[in-house]
Amino acid sequence: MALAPRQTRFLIVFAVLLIAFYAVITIGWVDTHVVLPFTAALARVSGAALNLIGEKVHVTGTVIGGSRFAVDIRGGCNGLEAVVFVCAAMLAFHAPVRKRIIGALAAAVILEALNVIRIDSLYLLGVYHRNVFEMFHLAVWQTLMFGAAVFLFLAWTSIVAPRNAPAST
Amino acid sequence: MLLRALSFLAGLAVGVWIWWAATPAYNHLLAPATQLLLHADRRLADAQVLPQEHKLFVTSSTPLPVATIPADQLTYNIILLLALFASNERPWRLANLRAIAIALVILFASHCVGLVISIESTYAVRQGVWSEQNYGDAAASFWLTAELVFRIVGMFGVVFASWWALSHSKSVST
Repeated sequence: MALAPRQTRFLIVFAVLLIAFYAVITIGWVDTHVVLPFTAALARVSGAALNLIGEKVHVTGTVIGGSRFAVDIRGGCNGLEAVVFVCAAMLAFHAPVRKRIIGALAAAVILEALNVIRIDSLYLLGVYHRNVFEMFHLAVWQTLMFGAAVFLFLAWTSIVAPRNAPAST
Repeated sequence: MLLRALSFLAGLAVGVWIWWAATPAYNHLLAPATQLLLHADRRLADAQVLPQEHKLFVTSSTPLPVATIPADQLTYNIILLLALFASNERPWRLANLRAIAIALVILFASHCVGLVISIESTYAVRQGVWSEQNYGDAAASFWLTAELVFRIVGMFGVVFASWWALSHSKSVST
Protein backbone atom coordinates (compact mmCIF):
# COMPACT_ATOMS: atom_id res chain seq x y z
CA MET A 1 0.00 0.00 0.00
CA ALA A 2 1.47 3.33 -1.07
CA LEU A 3 -0.26 6.68 -1.25
CA ALA A 4 0.81 9.57 -3.43
CA PRO A 5 2.01 12.61 -1.43
CA ARG A 6 -1.09 14.55 -2.50
CA GLN A 7 -3.37 11.81 -1.19
CA THR A 8 -1.49 11.70 2.10
CA ARG A 9 -1.78 15.49 2.34
CA PHE A 10 -5.51 15.22 1.62
CA LEU A 11 -6.03 12.75 4.48
CA ILE A 12 -4.03 14.86 6.94
CA VAL A 13 -5.81 18.11 6.02
CA PHE A 14 -9.16 16.28 6.09
CA ALA A 15 -8.51 14.99 9.63
CA VAL A 16 -7.37 18.42 10.87
CA LEU A 17 -10.37 20.21 9.31
CA LEU A 18 -12.79 17.56 10.61
CA ILE A 19 -11.64 18.04 14.18
CA ALA A 20 -11.46 21.85 13.78
CA PHE A 21 -14.99 22.12 12.35
CA TYR A 22 -16.35 19.80 15.00
CA ALA A 23 -14.63 21.88 17.69
CA VAL A 24 -16.30 25.01 16.31
CA ILE A 25 -19.85 23.59 16.45
CA THR A 26 -19.33 22.44 20.04
CA ILE A 27 -18.34 25.89 21.33
CA GLY A 28 -21.00 26.99 23.81
CA TRP A 29 -21.80 30.27 22.06
CA VAL A 30 -22.04 28.61 18.64
CA ASP A 31 -24.24 25.89 20.09
CA THR A 32 -26.62 28.39 21.69
CA HIS A 33 -26.78 30.94 18.88
CA VAL A 34 -26.34 28.78 15.77
CA VAL A 35 -26.78 25.04 16.32
CA LEU A 36 -29.86 25.15 18.56
CA PRO A 37 -31.82 27.67 16.41
CA PHE A 38 -30.83 25.69 13.32
CA THR A 39 -32.01 22.44 14.94
CA ALA A 40 -35.29 24.09 15.96
CA ALA A 41 -35.79 25.29 12.36
CA LEU A 42 -35.06 21.76 11.15
CA ALA A 43 -37.70 20.46 13.57
CA ARG A 44 -40.25 22.95 12.19
CA VAL A 45 -39.54 21.92 8.59
CA SER A 46 -39.71 18.21 9.50
CA GLY A 47 -42.92 18.78 11.46
CA ALA A 48 -44.47 20.66 8.54
CA ALA A 49 -43.59 17.77 6.21
CA LEU A 50 -45.21 15.30 8.62
CA ASN A 51 -48.36 17.43 8.81
CA LEU A 52 -48.42 17.52 5.01
CA ILE A 53 -48.65 13.73 4.84
CA GLY A 54 -51.41 13.62 7.40
CA GLU A 55 -49.59 13.04 10.68
CA LYS A 56 -50.92 15.42 13.28
CA VAL A 57 -47.80 16.68 15.02
CA HIS A 58 -46.80 19.82 16.87
CA VAL A 59 -43.31 21.23 17.24
CA THR A 60 -41.95 22.71 20.43
CA GLY A 61 -38.34 23.80 20.18
CA THR A 62 -36.48 20.75 18.93
CA VAL A 63 -39.26 18.28 19.83
CA ILE A 64 -41.71 16.90 17.29
CA GLY A 65 -44.64 15.35 19.11
CA GLY A 66 -47.82 13.55 18.17
CA SER A 67 -50.44 11.68 20.14
CA ARG A 68 -48.44 8.43 20.14
CA PHE A 69 -44.77 9.35 19.82
CA ALA A 70 -42.30 12.21 20.06
CA VAL A 71 -38.76 12.75 18.85
CA ASP A 72 -36.28 15.24 20.25
CA ILE A 73 -33.69 16.30 17.69
CA ARG A 74 -30.40 16.59 19.51
CA GLY A 75 -26.77 17.08 18.62
CA GLY A 76 -25.74 14.22 16.33
CA CYS A 77 -29.24 14.06 14.81
CA ASN A 78 -29.33 17.48 13.13
CA GLY A 79 -27.15 16.37 10.23
CA LEU A 80 -24.38 18.81 11.09
CA GLU A 81 -21.90 15.99 11.71
CA ALA A 82 -22.31 14.78 8.11
CA VAL A 83 -22.17 18.36 6.82
CA VAL A 84 -18.96 18.97 8.77
CA PHE A 85 -17.60 15.70 7.37
CA VAL A 86 -18.25 16.52 3.71
CA CYS A 87 -17.09 20.13 4.11
CA ALA A 88 -13.79 18.90 5.59
CA ALA A 89 -13.35 16.45 2.69
CA MET A 90 -14.16 19.00 -0.02
CA LEU A 91 -12.10 21.80 1.46
CA ALA A 92 -9.14 19.43 1.87
CA PHE A 93 -9.33 18.34 -1.77
CA HIS A 94 -7.01 19.93 -4.31
CA ALA A 95 -9.43 22.06 -6.38
CA PRO A 96 -10.13 25.76 -7.03
CA VAL A 97 -11.32 27.47 -3.82
CA ARG A 98 -14.55 28.69 -5.46
CA LYS A 99 -15.49 25.16 -6.49
CA ARG A 100 -14.72 23.86 -3.01
CA ILE A 101 -17.00 26.44 -1.39
CA ILE A 102 -19.84 25.91 -3.87
CA GLY A 103 -19.49 22.13 -3.50
CA ALA A 104 -19.54 22.32 0.30
CA LEU A 105 -22.62 24.58 0.31
CA ALA A 106 -24.50 22.38 -2.17
CA ALA A 107 -23.60 19.24 -0.23
CA ALA A 108 -24.77 20.86 3.02
CA VAL A 109 -28.19 21.68 1.50
CA ILE A 110 -28.61 18.17 0.06
CA LEU A 111 -27.57 16.50 3.32
CA GLU A 112 -29.96 18.60 5.37
CA ALA A 113 -32.79 17.79 2.94
CA LEU A 114 -31.92 14.12 3.43
CA ASN A 115 -31.88 14.73 7.17
CA VAL A 116 -35.49 15.95 7.05
CA ILE A 117 -36.37 12.60 5.45
CA ARG A 118 -34.39 10.85 8.19
CA ILE A 119 -36.21 12.70 10.98
CA ASP A 120 -39.64 12.12 9.45
CA SER A 121 -38.96 8.46 8.72
CA LEU A 122 -37.73 7.95 12.29
CA TYR A 123 -40.86 9.60 13.64
CA LEU A 124 -43.00 7.32 11.48
CA LEU A 125 -40.99 4.27 12.58
CA GLY A 126 -41.50 5.35 16.18
CA VAL A 127 -45.26 5.52 15.63
CA TYR A 128 -45.76 2.42 13.50
CA HIS A 129 -42.71 0.12 13.92
CA ARG A 130 -41.12 0.99 17.22
CA ASN A 131 -39.30 -2.36 17.43
CA VAL A 132 -36.89 -1.32 14.67
CA PHE A 133 -36.69 2.37 15.61
CA GLU A 134 -33.44 2.07 17.55
CA MET A 135 -31.65 0.11 14.83
CA PHE A 136 -32.64 2.65 12.18
CA HIS A 137 -31.88 5.58 14.47
CA LEU A 138 -28.46 4.34 15.47
CA ALA A 139 -27.10 2.31 12.60
CA VAL A 140 -29.03 2.57 9.36
CA TRP A 141 -29.62 6.31 9.11
CA GLN A 142 -26.24 7.33 10.54
CA THR A 143 -24.59 5.11 7.92
CA LEU A 144 -26.83 6.46 5.16
CA MET A 145 -26.05 10.05 6.12
CA PHE A 146 -22.30 9.50 6.10
CA GLY A 147 -22.59 7.31 3.01
CA ALA A 148 -24.45 10.14 1.28
CA ALA A 149 -21.71 12.53 2.38
CA VAL A 150 -19.06 10.26 0.84
CA PHE A 151 -21.08 9.90 -2.39
CA LEU A 152 -21.57 13.65 -2.66
CA PHE A 153 -17.84 14.04 -2.22
CA LEU A 154 -17.12 11.45 -4.93
CA ALA A 155 -19.66 13.02 -7.31
CA TRP A 156 -18.12 16.43 -6.70
CA THR A 157 -14.57 15.16 -7.28
CA SER A 158 -15.69 13.63 -10.58
CA ILE A 159 -16.85 17.13 -11.61
CA VAL A 160 -13.88 19.17 -10.39
CA ALA A 161 -11.26 16.57 -11.34
CA PRO A 162 -13.01 14.47 -14.01
CA ARG A 163 -9.99 12.77 -15.59
CA ASN A 164 -8.59 10.94 -12.61
CA ALA A 165 -10.25 12.03 -9.41
CA PRO A 166 -8.39 9.80 -6.93
CA ALA A 167 -4.98 10.70 -8.33
CA SER A 168 -5.78 14.40 -8.20
CA THR A 169 -6.05 14.63 -4.44
CA MET B 1 -22.72 6.30 -10.05
CA LEU B 2 -26.18 4.69 -9.80
CA LEU B 3 -24.69 1.18 -9.88
CA ARG B 4 -22.22 2.27 -7.26
CA ALA B 5 -25.02 3.61 -5.06
CA LEU B 6 -26.92 0.33 -5.41
CA SER B 7 -23.79 -1.63 -4.47
CA PHE B 8 -23.42 0.69 -1.49
CA LEU B 9 -27.00 -0.07 -0.37
CA ALA B 10 -26.42 -3.81 -0.78
CA GLY B 11 -23.25 -3.50 1.29
CA LEU B 12 -25.17 -1.51 3.87
CA ALA B 13 -27.82 -4.24 4.18
CA VAL B 14 -25.15 -6.93 4.58
CA GLY B 15 -23.28 -4.68 7.00
CA VAL B 16 -26.32 -4.15 9.23
CA TRP B 17 -26.89 -7.90 9.36
CA ILE B 18 -23.24 -8.71 10.12
CA TRP B 19 -23.00 -5.96 12.73
CA TRP B 20 -26.15 -7.08 14.54
CA ALA B 21 -25.44 -10.82 14.33
CA ALA B 22 -21.70 -10.72 15.00
CA THR B 23 -21.57 -8.11 17.77
CA PRO B 24 -21.84 -10.61 20.67
CA ALA B 25 -18.96 -12.72 19.29
CA TYR B 26 -16.98 -9.62 18.32
CA ASN B 27 -17.31 -8.29 21.87
CA HIS B 28 -15.44 -11.40 23.06
CA LEU B 29 -12.50 -10.24 20.93
CA LEU B 30 -12.79 -6.61 21.95
CA ALA B 31 -13.04 -7.17 25.71
CA PRO B 32 -9.55 -8.60 26.42
CA ALA B 33 -7.79 -6.17 24.05
CA THR B 34 -9.61 -3.21 25.59
CA GLN B 35 -8.88 -4.47 29.10
CA LEU B 36 -5.18 -4.61 28.28
CA LEU B 37 -5.20 -0.97 27.14
CA LEU B 38 -7.34 0.10 30.07
CA HIS B 39 -4.81 -1.20 32.58
CA ALA B 40 -2.37 1.52 31.44
CA ASP B 41 -4.47 3.85 33.62
CA ARG B 42 -3.66 2.99 37.25
CA ARG B 43 -7.16 4.10 38.36
CA LEU B 44 -8.53 1.27 36.27
CA ALA B 45 -5.63 -1.15 36.67
CA ASP B 46 -7.84 -3.82 38.28
CA ALA B 47 -10.77 -3.40 35.94
CA GLN B 48 -12.16 -6.45 34.24
CA VAL B 49 -13.97 -6.00 30.93
CA LEU B 50 -16.60 -8.66 30.37
CA PRO B 51 -18.68 -9.10 27.21
CA GLN B 52 -22.40 -9.76 27.46
CA GLU B 53 -24.43 -9.79 24.26
CA HIS B 54 -24.28 -6.30 22.72
CA LYS B 55 -22.74 -4.66 25.78
CA LEU B 56 -19.56 -4.72 27.79
CA PHE B 57 -19.47 -4.69 31.59
CA VAL B 58 -16.60 -3.26 33.57
CA THR B 59 -16.18 -4.82 36.99
CA SER B 60 -13.41 -5.24 39.54
CA SER B 61 -12.59 -6.92 42.84
CA THR B 62 -11.67 -3.44 44.13
CA PRO B 63 -14.18 -0.67 45.07
CA LEU B 64 -14.28 0.39 41.40
CA PRO B 65 -17.96 0.91 40.50
CA VAL B 66 -19.54 -1.32 37.88
CA ALA B 67 -20.10 0.27 34.48
CA THR B 68 -22.11 -0.80 31.45
CA ILE B 69 -20.79 0.20 28.05
CA PRO B 70 -23.05 -0.09 24.98
CA ALA B 71 -20.27 -1.48 22.79
CA ASP B 72 -22.52 -1.88 19.75
CA GLN B 73 -22.90 1.91 19.60
CA LEU B 74 -19.15 2.21 19.12
CA THR B 75 -18.75 -0.48 16.48
CA TYR B 76 -21.57 0.12 14.01
CA ASN B 77 -19.24 2.07 11.74
CA ILE B 78 -18.34 -1.35 10.31
CA ILE B 79 -21.60 -1.00 8.34
CA LEU B 80 -20.28 2.09 6.54
CA LEU B 81 -16.93 0.40 5.94
CA LEU B 82 -18.52 -2.64 4.28
CA ALA B 83 -20.91 -0.45 2.28
CA LEU B 84 -18.05 1.72 0.97
CA PHE B 85 -15.92 -1.26 -0.05
CA ALA B 86 -18.98 -2.87 -1.65
CA SER B 87 -19.36 0.27 -3.76
CA ASN B 88 -15.86 -0.12 -5.20
CA GLU B 89 -15.46 -1.33 -8.75
CA ARG B 90 -15.48 -5.17 -8.88
CA PRO B 91 -15.75 -5.56 -5.09
CA TRP B 92 -14.98 -9.31 -5.15
CA ARG B 93 -11.52 -8.90 -6.68
CA LEU B 94 -8.66 -10.05 -4.48
CA ALA B 95 -7.14 -6.59 -4.04
CA ASN B 96 -10.43 -5.21 -2.71
CA LEU B 97 -10.87 -8.15 -0.34
CA ARG B 98 -7.31 -7.67 0.91
CA ALA B 99 -8.03 -3.97 1.45
CA ILE B 100 -11.17 -4.87 3.45
CA ALA B 101 -9.10 -7.22 5.62
CA ILE B 102 -6.55 -4.47 6.35
CA ALA B 103 -9.34 -1.96 7.00
CA LEU B 104 -10.97 -4.38 9.46
CA VAL B 105 -7.71 -4.63 11.41
CA ILE B 106 -7.52 -0.81 11.53
CA LEU B 107 -11.16 -0.70 12.59
CA PHE B 108 -10.56 -3.24 15.36
CA ALA B 109 -7.72 -1.09 16.73
CA SER B 110 -9.94 2.00 16.56
CA HIS B 111 -12.74 0.14 18.34
CA CYS B 112 -10.39 -0.76 21.20
CA VAL B 113 -9.29 2.88 21.48
CA GLY B 114 -12.91 4.06 21.23
CA LEU B 115 -13.95 1.69 23.99
CA VAL B 116 -11.12 2.84 26.25
CA ILE B 117 -12.21 6.45 25.66
CA SER B 118 -15.83 5.55 26.38
CA ILE B 119 -14.93 3.64 29.57
CA GLU B 120 -12.66 6.46 30.77
CA SER B 121 -15.41 8.98 30.02
CA THR B 122 -17.96 6.86 31.92
CA TYR B 123 -15.71 6.69 34.99
CA ALA B 124 -14.69 10.34 34.70
CA VAL B 125 -18.17 11.89 34.57
CA ARG B 126 -20.91 9.32 35.27
CA GLN B 127 -19.90 7.62 38.51
CA GLY B 128 -20.88 10.34 40.98
CA VAL B 129 -18.60 10.70 43.99
CA TRP B 130 -16.13 8.12 42.65
CA SER B 131 -15.64 10.25 39.53
CA GLU B 132 -15.07 13.41 41.59
CA GLN B 133 -12.55 11.65 43.81
CA ASN B 134 -10.54 10.13 40.99
CA TYR B 135 -10.74 12.58 38.08
CA GLY B 136 -10.08 16.31 38.05
CA ASP B 137 -12.23 18.73 36.06
CA ALA B 138 -9.70 18.93 33.22
CA ALA B 139 -9.42 15.15 32.95
CA ALA B 140 -13.20 14.75 33.01
CA SER B 141 -13.62 17.37 30.27
CA PHE B 142 -10.88 15.75 28.21
CA TRP B 143 -12.44 12.27 28.28
CA LEU B 144 -15.95 13.56 27.67
CA THR B 145 -14.77 15.63 24.69
CA ALA B 146 -12.74 12.71 23.34
CA GLU B 147 -15.80 10.47 23.58
CA LEU B 148 -18.01 12.98 21.75
CA VAL B 149 -15.43 13.51 19.01
CA PHE B 150 -15.02 9.76 18.54
CA ARG B 151 -18.73 9.00 18.51
CA ILE B 152 -19.90 11.88 16.34
CA VAL B 153 -17.19 12.23 13.70
CA GLY B 154 -14.12 10.18 14.65
CA MET B 155 -15.55 6.72 14.08
CA PHE B 156 -16.72 7.69 10.59
CA GLY B 157 -13.53 9.62 9.89
CA VAL B 158 -11.51 6.44 10.55
CA VAL B 159 -13.72 4.47 8.17
CA PHE B 160 -13.53 7.08 5.41
CA ALA B 161 -9.76 7.50 5.75
CA SER B 162 -9.21 3.71 5.74
CA TRP B 163 -11.43 3.22 2.72
CA TRP B 164 -9.95 6.16 0.85
CA ALA B 165 -6.34 5.20 1.56
CA LEU B 166 -6.83 1.50 0.82
CA SER B 167 -9.02 2.00 -2.24
CA HIS B 168 -6.67 4.53 -3.79
CA SER B 169 -3.34 2.97 -2.86
CA LYS B 170 -1.20 1.62 -5.67
CA SER B 171 -1.49 -2.00 -4.51
CA VAL B 172 -5.28 -1.93 -4.77
CA SER B 173 -5.76 0.22 -7.84
CA THR B 174 -3.36 -1.75 -10.01
